[in-house]
Amino acid sequence: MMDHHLSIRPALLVWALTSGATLLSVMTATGGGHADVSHMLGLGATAVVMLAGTVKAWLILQYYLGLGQSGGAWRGLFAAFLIIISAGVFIAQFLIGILY
Amino acid sequence: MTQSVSSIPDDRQEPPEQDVPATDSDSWGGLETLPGHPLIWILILSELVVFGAFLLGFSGARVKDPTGFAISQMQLDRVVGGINTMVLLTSGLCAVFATRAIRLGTVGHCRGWLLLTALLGLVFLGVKIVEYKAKIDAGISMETNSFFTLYFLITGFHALHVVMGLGILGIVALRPLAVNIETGVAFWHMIDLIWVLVFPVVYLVR
Repeated sequence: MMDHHLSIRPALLVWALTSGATLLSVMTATGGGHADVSHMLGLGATAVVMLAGTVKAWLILQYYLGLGQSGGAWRGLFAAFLIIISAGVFIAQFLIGILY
Repeated sequence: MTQSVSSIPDDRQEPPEQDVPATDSDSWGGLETLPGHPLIWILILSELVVFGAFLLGFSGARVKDPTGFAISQMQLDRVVGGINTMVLLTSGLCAVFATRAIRLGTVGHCRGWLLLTALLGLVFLGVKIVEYKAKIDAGISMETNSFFTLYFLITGFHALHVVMGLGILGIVALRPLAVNIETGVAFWHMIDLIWVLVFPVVYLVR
């Protein structure tokens, strides 16, 4: 039987979702071309951009790389890496908001 | 009387030799259940740690000079970066289809999908070269400021992985065993995975 992560429909769905998340993050960061890009992003916009990136990374891990078939410990380890990176970027944005 | 250490009879026994020799699947701690060779997963983990450290370092440097980073980031084309992200995501989809084809035993289709994957990888590199050339023509280099030092370092290191990935895809296309294809494709997905984290941090968050 073909592995779930190699089926056509989930693969296309993941591609559509990750592409949509890319568009969403670019639109959020640029305000659809109307925002002053020299201004800092707010915490909400930063959260949306980083959440979109983390979700894309997780979908690639789960469905393209096939991590979904592995044990919970491996999934947990990769999830921890993604959370640390996103949290680090978010904390940096928070500190910039406080300090400047 | 005190007995010398050397005269104490040694009751310890050598552990009996195992009847069943250890196999690969005994020693990978669950990695053998994942697609491709287990070593590729150790590489993926290592690369995530390295690029994760780069991205956290980038964010840390941004805290020290947020205005300088925001002004420098304006020199980057976010839309082009977004298009390049879509190109890599599409190449990842083609790579999934290559794996599917080899599982179905259609080597010709597998090679076709791998070729398409590699062509999209070349498009990504082409766009990157155009982007770098525009920076260099504008007098921007690694020495310009911290932002561009990290920009060239992170995106250049990633581009180097794309070049290596193209080589690996070529090699596995020549020896299209299922494990080879899965391993090569896993490396390609890792490149994809890293870029979707690099793109928002370097191009979007300011």
